[in-house]
Amino acid sequence: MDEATAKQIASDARPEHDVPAGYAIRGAERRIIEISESAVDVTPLVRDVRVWIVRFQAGIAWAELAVDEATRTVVRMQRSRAP
Amino acid sequence: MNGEFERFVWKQIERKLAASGVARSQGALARFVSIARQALPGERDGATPAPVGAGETQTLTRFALYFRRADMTVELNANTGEPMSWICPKFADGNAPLTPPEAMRVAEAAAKLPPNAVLLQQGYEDIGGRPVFVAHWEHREDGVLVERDYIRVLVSGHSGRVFAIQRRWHDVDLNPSER
Repeated sequence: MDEATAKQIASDARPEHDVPAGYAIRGAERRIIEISESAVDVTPLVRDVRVWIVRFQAGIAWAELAVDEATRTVVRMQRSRAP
Repeated sequence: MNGEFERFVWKQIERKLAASGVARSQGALARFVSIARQALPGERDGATPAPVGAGETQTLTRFALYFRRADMTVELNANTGEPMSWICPKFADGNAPLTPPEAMRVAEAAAKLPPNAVLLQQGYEDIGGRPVFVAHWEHREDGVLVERDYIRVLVSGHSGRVFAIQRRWHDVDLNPSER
């Protein structure tokens, strides 16, 4: 998956992850992240995932969507504290 | 027997200190001194001390006294037992400062760098009013950053010794596993 595709997938996923409309894409980078696969009440299983981290920003507020290169889905969303 | 022996040693220490004009209870001393009984040659652990000679009531006992010199905090991975970090502020005391290249060599030797460690930062910083050489490596696989993995080594600008290491590192595994 190239950077442009990752940005497009992240943009399309904005509504379901509540990324505000005023946030603009500020960049993307490849990264390897850990994703927990287990329910809360069992021993946690973790796997590494190769993703594109797509960053949205408005002023100092930001949100990042992690797009799994293999499945082309958003596997994690992180955001700054509410401004 | 061990408890009796330890009480005897503590009493001896207290007597010695009192004779030199220092009064300390065992509780206060225990913060700085510990006693460990040791086996004599040919004696199994925990065995009753052997009489010194036939018909003697005295026994021979070997013990070690340990004196606390510094506090060290160590973090271990609960799954693997691998050290994750340690810090010993005492190691920062001294007077043998290093040049940045020398400090970097000391840091590299302590870091036990994996092949995919990429240097992110090196140099002296003022930390808490003291000069500290900071070396920081990140984990990259084929150039891709492995999030949250890093090795950070702190070398004292006073002693020239490593006094803290933080290490979070794992082998990338795309299959689910316990960590």
